[in-house]
Amino acid sequence: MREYKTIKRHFNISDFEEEQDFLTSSQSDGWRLISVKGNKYTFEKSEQEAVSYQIDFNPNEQQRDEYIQLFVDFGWQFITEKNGRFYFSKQTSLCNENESKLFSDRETKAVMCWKIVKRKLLQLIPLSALMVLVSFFIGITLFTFRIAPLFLSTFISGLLLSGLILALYASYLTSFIKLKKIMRGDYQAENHHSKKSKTVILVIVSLIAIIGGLCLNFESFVFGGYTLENAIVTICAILIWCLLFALGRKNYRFMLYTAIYWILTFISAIISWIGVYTDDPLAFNLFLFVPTSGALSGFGFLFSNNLLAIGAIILTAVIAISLSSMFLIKIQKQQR
Amino acid sequence: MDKRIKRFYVPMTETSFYILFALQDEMHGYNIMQYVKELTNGEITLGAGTVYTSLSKMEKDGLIVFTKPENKRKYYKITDLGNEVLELELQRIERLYKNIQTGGKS
Repeated sequence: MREYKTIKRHFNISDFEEEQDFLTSSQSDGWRLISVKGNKYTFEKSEQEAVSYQIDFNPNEQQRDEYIQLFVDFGWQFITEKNGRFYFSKQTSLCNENESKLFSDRETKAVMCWKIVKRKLLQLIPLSALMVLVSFFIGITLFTFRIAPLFLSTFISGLLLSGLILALYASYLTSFIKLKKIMRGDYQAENHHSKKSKTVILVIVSLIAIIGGLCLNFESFVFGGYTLENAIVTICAILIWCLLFALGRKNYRFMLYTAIYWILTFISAIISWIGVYTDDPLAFNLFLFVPTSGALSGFGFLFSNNLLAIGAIILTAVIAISLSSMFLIKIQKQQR
Repeated sequence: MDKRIKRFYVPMTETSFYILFALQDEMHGYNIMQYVKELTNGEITLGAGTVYTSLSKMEKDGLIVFTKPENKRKYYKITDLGNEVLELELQRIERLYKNIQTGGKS
């Protein structure tokens, strides 16, 4: 009776070293890779063996059969191909360390890394164009329907654009830095440096969402009288946060900061809710409430009731806290 | 010789040198690895990806030429240009070796 299991994991093409490690360690736990489709890796129960898994990125191969035959001659077993990634495996018990790798010198490995860089640059062109269009479209809509004056529409679309582009380019930039390290030959999987730079960029983008949103909402926040503009700013901020959660969900540091920020938001929102309810301004709380909830105060337009608006902030914070703690637990489990 | 070729291949990597040297006889990928392993007494084992990448690049640059397919294996042989590059590289290595041997005394 054959036993199968399927694991969903996403590996960027520039994370091929991590992907190889993942497959190799699965095999040493007794699961042999049989197919890769999209994000789904299918394994078959097998012996616990020392097998090396290697990926070659070779998207423009015209003579596929000849290409695979060469690797088979070298003792590699061809498993599958996905979007130009060719998966090979080889038993390592009988061969030396050099033979368990596809590349025996740095120069030829660098050629493969260049292919990845080229592919990523090609992806970047349509994505950037799309982002410019989306932000431009939102700006135009805001202006033509007189939702916001020209200056504010431009500002919002600019803020949205820079947030999106920064987040997008940040993820590409980190993968380029990583590839450069692999080319130089001093990269080890789980490198802390590239993680650190990623954390910095994620923090900057989240500060843009927090402070940018606060500045835009500040006037109505202090003097009251919420308008649709504030609601739009809040929705933009929430969208940026969704993106940040998607990009930073595997980053322990960033998730930790995020959790702390949202816990602070939660506490201050609870205090102001009590303040509004008991009709006591609780002024000490403003120092915490203004910076944490400023970007979210657009809820004031959607719910004309103050209690409901703060309730919405509390709910958002609860969702964000549970999301970030869920990701934190997940990261810790994976590390073990 | 094209300046670009000269700049790229002189000096060349150890891998490229051995592959080019091996292709003075007609061979396919795995042959080359075995030949180099024997030649270097097992010191250099070329990886499959390394051989494949080098062959594609050298074929594109005209240093070697694809001769025949046999059982899905592609055979290659060195070209005149390849021989020229190999000769230049040999001279360079000889000069290097001679210079350090004599220690600049002669």
